[in-house]
Amino acid sequence: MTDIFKNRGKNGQMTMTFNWIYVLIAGGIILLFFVGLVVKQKASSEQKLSYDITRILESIITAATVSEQTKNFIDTSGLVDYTINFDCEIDGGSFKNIFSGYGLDTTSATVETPIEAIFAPKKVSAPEIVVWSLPYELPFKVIDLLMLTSSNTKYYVLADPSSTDSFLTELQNITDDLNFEFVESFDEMEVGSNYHIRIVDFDYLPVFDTITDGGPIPPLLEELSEDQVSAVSFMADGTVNYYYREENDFQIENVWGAIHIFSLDPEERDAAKYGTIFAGGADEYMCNMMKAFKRLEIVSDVYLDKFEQLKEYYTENGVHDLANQDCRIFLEGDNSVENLHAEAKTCVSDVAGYLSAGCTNIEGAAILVKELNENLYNNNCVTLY
Amino acid sequence: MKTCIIIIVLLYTKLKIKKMLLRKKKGQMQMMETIGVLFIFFILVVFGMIFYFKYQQISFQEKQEELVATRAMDSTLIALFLPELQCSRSGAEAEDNCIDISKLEGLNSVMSKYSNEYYFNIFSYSRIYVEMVYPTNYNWVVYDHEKTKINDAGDEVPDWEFKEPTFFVVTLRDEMNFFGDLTGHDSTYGFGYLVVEVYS
Amino acid sequence: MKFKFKISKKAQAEMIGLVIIVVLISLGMLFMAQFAINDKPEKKIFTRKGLAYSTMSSIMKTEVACYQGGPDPETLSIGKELIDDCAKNWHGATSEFSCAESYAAYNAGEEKHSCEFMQDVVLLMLNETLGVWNKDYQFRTVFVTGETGDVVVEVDNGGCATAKERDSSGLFPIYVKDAGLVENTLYLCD
Repeated sequence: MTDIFKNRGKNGQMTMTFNWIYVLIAGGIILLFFVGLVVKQKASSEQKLSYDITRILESIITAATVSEQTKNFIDTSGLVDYTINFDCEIDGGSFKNIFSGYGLDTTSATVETPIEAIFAPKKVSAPEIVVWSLPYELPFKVIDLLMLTSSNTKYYVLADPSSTDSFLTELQNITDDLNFEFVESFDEMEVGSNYHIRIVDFDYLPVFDTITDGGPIPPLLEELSEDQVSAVSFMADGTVNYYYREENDFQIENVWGAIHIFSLDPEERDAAKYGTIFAGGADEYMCNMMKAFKRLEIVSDVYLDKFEQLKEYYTENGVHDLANQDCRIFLEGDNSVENLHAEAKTCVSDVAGYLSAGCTNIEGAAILVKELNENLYNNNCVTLY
Repeated sequence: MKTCIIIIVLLYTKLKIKKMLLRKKKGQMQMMETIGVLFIFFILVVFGMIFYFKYQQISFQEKQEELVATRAMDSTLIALFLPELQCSRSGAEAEDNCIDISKLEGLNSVMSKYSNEYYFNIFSYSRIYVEMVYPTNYNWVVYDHEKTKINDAGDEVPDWEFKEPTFFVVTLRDEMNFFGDLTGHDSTYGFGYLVVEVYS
Repeated sequence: MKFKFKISKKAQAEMIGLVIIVVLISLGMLFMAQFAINDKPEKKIFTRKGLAYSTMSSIMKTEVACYQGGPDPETLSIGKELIDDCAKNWHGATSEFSCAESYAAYNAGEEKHSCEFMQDVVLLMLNETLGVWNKDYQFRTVFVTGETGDVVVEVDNGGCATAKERDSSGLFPIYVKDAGLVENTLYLCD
């Protein structure tokens, strides 16, 4: 009898133990399951959030691009923990080889921009983003170039303040509400709380210090990492050079030669010139300009059609020609529009890209179209644009 | 004495058997109860999953509609400010809400020419056309890229579920008087609208 | 017997408990489901405001044919000559431009006062656009005198005058020489 009781006792102890082990294992598995679910859901939520952010950014950029000549200040204080990167590369020179886009760093949320020309720093992480759209005219409006910067990207303009250079004067007025500072020497340049420092050097308006290939970086900026300092230098011949930091010196980025700014009137509010200040680097600038030239190829095709219609409108036997014979004379034999279209086509398809002959000749062709339009305007004819 | 002991033992044994039987029944009942609880639990889980998946489906559909609406807004904005359509004024800023008819005339062929390599990246699957209302009725199709598929019979058929049209009223500038003969009068500024239909 | 009665009650109580849980969870799910049905009005507002502005801007720029005196009509801009004439002569029976819509109408003696002509032309344009798209609208041209104004032209397809949710094109003010200020507004509602 006692043995029965003893056995039952031992049975009970073993059952209890197994019970607890069973509970621990089962409970552990269930807990792991729910923890796994939560972790997966968190990752999925973050990914969804990053896609939502890029989608909203895309809408903002689209709207900002069409609001010409207006600066839009966008509050991105909720995105301070994120870094937005902007990329534009041509792998092979021609428009077809452009790889361009922007997105959130370390995520797969990206927006491809094979068409839109956005001049922005390579990386942006700020509580406020500024977008500013300027129309690029060559000579008619081709595309809106979007300048993008942030509240913590500092632009130090190294130029002689007493100069009456029209571009410098306009820059001083127009960048009043941006993070620009006009200085005369490297000693005035500080890091502050800025994420990136861009030095804009007016080489043809010399002051105490200047940016040169192999030259030193401002001493107070030495604490910044290499990708946090860059420079662009405007030369007297209308070209620009880009510099990046290597150790404690500036090295020229465009080793193949100075970058020409294709513009008809560099003294006016020139989108291509402003683009050089905001672009991430030489490659990014040329890549975005190639997009503009591609658009020029298409828009000039449209104007070519309009040109033919104008010629027909002012035909020898037409009523309109009787009133304005000069209109027909200006149009007949003029091939400036056709020429511009051909040069733009060559420019975007040549593997030499920005440096090709087609691109170099665009300016000259555009000037001829401008002259044609001015003649039509001055003689009360229907203008081309 | 012996009888007493036997009776006691018998009673004890009876009690023990009764207890054993009861325990067995109790065990069975507990098992049934556990199975019942598990059954209900799994039914609840199934209900929960059905609701969750249904919610996700509706959410996904709504998200799709939202994306199409956003795409429609963006495409409309871009179309309204295309240099290929806008009325230009030499060096001055372009005219707002104005489309140049002389550009419209040849634009369809230009857009078709560059559709795959260029305009598809802007407008994707959509249809953009301009309708003139005054001085006369006329229509221009600027861009047309319908979403299609090849069916089993080898025919090309539409492959979209719904389309989101956006209308914008515009001025139509006719400097070369294309419609003068038709209407009997010269009028530079006509009235019409731009339609951007985005396919989902 | 008493013991057995207690057990059966306990089971029933547990069953009821389970049923309550199921019902509560179902109600919770239904409650969550209503948030899935969400109306996103951003696009609606964007297009309505933009549409009101663009429609008004286009109407003001449109040039119309005014047949008065012969087969060759005069081309008048709604936002300039027509409103000018209407503002100067709205209180009178005649106006400087007495327009017929076509040469045939002119021959039939159907010339109209410039305000009436403007009203008809604007009605035609709005009907062919906003009307076709099933949008309610109200177009008004108000001649402002001091703090009050007189409605000179009004085109209304009903429903927008008193609607709570409506968007305006903004005032399109035109100063008419020798007359005063004229304000033009288009209201749009769904």
